[in-house]
Amino acid sequence: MVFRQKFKLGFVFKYFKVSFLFSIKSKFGATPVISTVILVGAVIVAFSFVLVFTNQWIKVSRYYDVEGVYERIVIEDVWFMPLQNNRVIRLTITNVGKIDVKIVMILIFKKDGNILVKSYNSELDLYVIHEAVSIDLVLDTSWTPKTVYRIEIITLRGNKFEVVCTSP
Amino acid sequence: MKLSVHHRDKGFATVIGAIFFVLMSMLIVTFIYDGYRKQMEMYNFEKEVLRERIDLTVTISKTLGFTMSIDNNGHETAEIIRFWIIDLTGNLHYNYTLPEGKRVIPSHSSITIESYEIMGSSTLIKGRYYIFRLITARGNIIETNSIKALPGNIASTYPQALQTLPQLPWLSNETVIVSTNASETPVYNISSEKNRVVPYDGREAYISIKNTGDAAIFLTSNTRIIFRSLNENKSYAGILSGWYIYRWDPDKKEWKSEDSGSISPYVDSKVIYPDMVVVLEFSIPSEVPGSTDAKYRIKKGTYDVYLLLEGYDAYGKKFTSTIYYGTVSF
Repeated sequence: MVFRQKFKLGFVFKYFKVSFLFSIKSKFGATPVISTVILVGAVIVAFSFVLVFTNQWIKVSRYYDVEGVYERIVIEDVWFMPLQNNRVIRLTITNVGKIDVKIVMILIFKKDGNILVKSYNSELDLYVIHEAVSIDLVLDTSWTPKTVYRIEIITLRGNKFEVVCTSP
Repeated sequence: MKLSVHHRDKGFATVIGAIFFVLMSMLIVTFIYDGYRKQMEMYNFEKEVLRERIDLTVTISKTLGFTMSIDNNGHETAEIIRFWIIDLTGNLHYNYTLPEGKRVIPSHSSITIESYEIMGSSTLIKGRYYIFRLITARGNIIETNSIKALPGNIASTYPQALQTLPQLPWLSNETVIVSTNASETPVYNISSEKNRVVPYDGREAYISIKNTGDAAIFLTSNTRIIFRSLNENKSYAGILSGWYIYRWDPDKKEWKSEDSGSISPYVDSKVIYPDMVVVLEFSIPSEVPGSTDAKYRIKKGTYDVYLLLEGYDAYGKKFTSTIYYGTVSF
């Protein structure tokens, strides 16, 4: 009877109060080896989680924040082309930074009233401009003559490059 | 019941924990250092971008090509990655790569590029408006003002000093071009004779000009023709001494002298109305303009020729214009 009471007490201690970080060696016959394995395993698992999380966080931060400072693109030219009834705008973009740039979005605003004329995102499908390379992006957007436009280019790392220009 | 923590277990786990901790610390420190290094690198890059100072001057030649002068006035060596010509009138954008060997400009130096050196470039279209633009490897954009494609016109990133059209309120805005149209003048090229084209040989120089502005102008004896030698460090100038107006006689199919006169400090040119073509006579170019001493006279060689036109317009404003004529050899 006494033994059963002690056992119950030990059980309570084990699962609800002191958990498995302590071994109750003499009372229940659990070997030091098992408790050591459990302890070390727990430490490894816990720290592995922390390490993986930290590593992942560093990886993401490095990509978006640290490498983000390397991004520089210059919008060399905006040509409002007189094609298809003024429906084509050609952007010439050069990567002058020290890292490849992925364009995820292009927004075209009419400066007067900041009206969003058109946004491109899924169509671009992560358009990559490699280092020191120029590309021409031909956008199917109708434009009005003698109008001021603001064109924003958003990169995957969250940088924004913009140019203000007037259509001819 | 007695609970005990085994020190050996704790120590072993601590060692493992410490290893993980060191690993994490190294990761974080490396990350922070990497971030700092990249920030500093880009900070220096930004400084270089700001310190880059390029100036561009484009002079349109007689044949509607152009001479481009790129001055690196900054403290950093600059690399030009692209050259743009924007035809504002026709809404056309052309981009070119500069010739190999002329893309990199050391600090405080200049390069000159002729339009024929640029692969694929064609002549400008007379009367259209153009903008010229350079892109540097650091991402700076250098753009000139817009200019009309007429011989002698200059587009530049420099302040007004180099502009063909004077902007000061007491100066006239009228424009003049060197007339090269044989159907308008018998002297459609620099000549040694006043009524036909004879290749220039170092005597009196004759050049025809056309008033392309909106107001009538008068030229004074301060007008000069300047010859800058390309072979040696010498320059010569001739003084405006006369004017001639010719009319095409369709019956005899020849040019007839309609009017003429001489110019001195006391006598100006006859009024030159808009669209009127006049042949100008200049004295023999000399290192001492106006001197007849043979030792100062222009010698055989290759020269860049400029016209400095001075006078006043029908609204009482001073008129001054510099026109690059082109290169002459004799």
